[in-house]
Amino acid sequence: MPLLTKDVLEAGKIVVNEIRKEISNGLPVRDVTLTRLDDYDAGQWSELVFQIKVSLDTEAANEAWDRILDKIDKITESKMVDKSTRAALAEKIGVSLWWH
Amino acid sequence: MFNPRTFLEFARQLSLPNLGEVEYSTAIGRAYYSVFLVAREELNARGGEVKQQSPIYANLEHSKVRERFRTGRFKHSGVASRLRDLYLLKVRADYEIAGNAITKEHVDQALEYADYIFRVFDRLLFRGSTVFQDQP
Repeated sequence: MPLLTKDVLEAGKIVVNEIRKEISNGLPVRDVTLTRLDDYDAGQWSELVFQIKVSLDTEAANEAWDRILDKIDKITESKMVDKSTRAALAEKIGVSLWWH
Repeated sequence: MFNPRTFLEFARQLSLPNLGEVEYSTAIGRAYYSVFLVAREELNARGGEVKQQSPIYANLEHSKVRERFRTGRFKHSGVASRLRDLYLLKVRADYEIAGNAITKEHVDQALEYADYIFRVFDRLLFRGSTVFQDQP
């Protein structure tokens, strides 16, 4: 089954919007890449992950990452978007921070 | 029972500057298995049912452990995300043989992921654990 479905693209737009808001609020981003990640051992999962390189110390980076995940969780648990997009948000889209 | 957290201390010893790719790759692998093995045992002790009876299916345990942190009563998106990234660093360390595939930067980031995950285990998800009696 292809990973890049309409629902995943819709979920991706939501994540991009949250990242955009974070950058507007001062998140010091060095680079953002979108990468496909797979379960190498058993092929049980695949995800599209926004990998964000930031210029922050460990504590601030962990806080920023958790803040982004929390916002995405809230959208996933709400009825703001349709069910299939929520499923894609929960299972097929990820956000990753890198600060070293 | 052997406490897999000691792997993390070994990984830290292999994260010093000016070491080589062999040490750094080994450090990432030990950091991942430190977290994975503790998570597997703790989840299983709490009814998480992640351990496979047959070694044929042991490779499923990695995704099962992560799945438990994505949904259900052990849900923690921060842990699930960092565990995914730590796993992928482990895969890179295990299989990528191109020069400079693994650097000190990768090890430092892997150790940060492991430290965060253990903090959440100790303070929230597996607080008061008795699975590993010598747990720090």
